[in-house]
Amino acid sequence: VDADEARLRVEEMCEKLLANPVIESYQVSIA
Amino acid sequence: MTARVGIVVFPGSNCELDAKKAFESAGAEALMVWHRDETLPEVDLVVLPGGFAHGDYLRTGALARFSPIMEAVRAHADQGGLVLGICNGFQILCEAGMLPGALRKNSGLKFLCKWVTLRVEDANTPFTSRAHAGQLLRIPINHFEGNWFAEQAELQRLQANGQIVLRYEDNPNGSLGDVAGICNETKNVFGLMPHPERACEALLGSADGIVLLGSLLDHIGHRAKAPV
Repeated sequence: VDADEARLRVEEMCEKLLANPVIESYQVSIA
Repeated sequence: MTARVGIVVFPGSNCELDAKKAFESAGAEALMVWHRDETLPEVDLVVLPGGFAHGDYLRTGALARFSPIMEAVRAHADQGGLVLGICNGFQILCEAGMLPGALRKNSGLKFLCKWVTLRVEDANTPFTSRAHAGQLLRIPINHFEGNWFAEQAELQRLQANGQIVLRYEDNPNGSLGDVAGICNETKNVFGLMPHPERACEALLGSADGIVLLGSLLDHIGHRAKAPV
């Protein structure tokens, strides 16, 4: 999985489950 | 015609029997539906009861929205079917995106279990048709995350659309705009933090919950009689 694909997947996880974007923000770092 | 009510049971639900008793006392037939089921029985109303679905892990309602039954609940709502979320059920509906906003921890960071007074903001919904605008209802709350929040623009949109159904007279939890219960744009999905099913007998302190539950049953009855 390249960095762009990884970012997309993690952002989807954040939007769907890990964070509630109504009340929470998140930041994704690819190392 | 007897209204059929499907009450979804998640692991951690704890108000499903209260809801069943309340709806049966009001004249409905109540069926329990397990959260792992993928289809709903033929029902007029789906109730997501109070409790701690999936242990409130991560955030209240965050995991329950992924329970297999939720796709059927969403489809039921999309077809105009009635959905009622009480307390944890309200939190699940917000997490599922079926109602706007989110429920945060109470502003005082304390679990609240007490009677509150609610004001009916809009009587023109299937959930409040037995009430009149401005009517006060005495119904208990029992929650830690009841502090409803949405962006200001969202709150204004809800107010303009008549989607704010109930407000607290004396806001107990910091909820934006004193909001206690809201509905979706098409007014067939309703969520509230207070527990109307616990206020259906005067002996228990109040029978005002019947105003809300009975309104739903009235709506189902009228719809059944309406010419097609």
